[in-house]
Amino acid sequence: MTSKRIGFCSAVVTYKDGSKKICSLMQKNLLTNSGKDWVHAQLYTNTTAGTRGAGFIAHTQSTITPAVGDTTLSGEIADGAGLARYDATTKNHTAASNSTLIEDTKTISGAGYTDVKSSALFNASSAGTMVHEANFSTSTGALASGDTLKTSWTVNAS
Amino acid sequence: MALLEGGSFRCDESHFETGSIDEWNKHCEQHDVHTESGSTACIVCKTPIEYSDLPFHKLDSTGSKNIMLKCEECEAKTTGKVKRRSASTQ
Repeated sequence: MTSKRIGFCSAVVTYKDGSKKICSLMQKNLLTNSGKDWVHAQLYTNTTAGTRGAGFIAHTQSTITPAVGDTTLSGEIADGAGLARYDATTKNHTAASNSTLIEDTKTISGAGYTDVKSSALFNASSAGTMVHEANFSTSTGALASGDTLKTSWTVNAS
Repeated sequence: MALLEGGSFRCDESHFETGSIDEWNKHCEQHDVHTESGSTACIVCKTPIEYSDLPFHKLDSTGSKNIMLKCEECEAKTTGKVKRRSASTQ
């Protein structure tokens, strides 16, 4: 099965000195097989209430090759320096369109990170279904305490 | 649903479709059906806010809509009075 793409992932680092680095600008993301199954369950086959939406953003410092068969984000960040999986603050749908935006900005703390390379959307704060994943076109490089990472997922589904 | 082929922005009203952010922004600004709804946090106190019928917000050069709202309490502190707003606290 070929990779399936739906929507985009963008990521921007703002360093403490105010400079910015665009790591990913509307990089096409991938709808996983498990994500596709989850969408159909949410929309059609569930006989009881569904799950939360896929509004949880995760990141990894690992080099990954997104594939439709992926069910977890390899090397998912789980520490307390700011980028452990989080419920995105902004979830927005544009009426009369196929477009939804999932977005948040996180401030790095503590030891920071060496290099953040990819992101994913899940439907739960832990475990759950990984619905989308994407590599950044350029990794962030070192993130120090006080830097911020803004991750914006645009999902176009219709 | 064309869940397996996404990527483009698509208008349900006019069936306009594009992969260009600029073209999408231009289209939505010219058609008032493309309002915004969802949830975010108050930019002052971080209280969760649900909103609907906001005017279309353009995607900027970093892929963000920069939706920044204040909750009713913070808006009142800013203006000195409670004003009718499109957003309300949960």
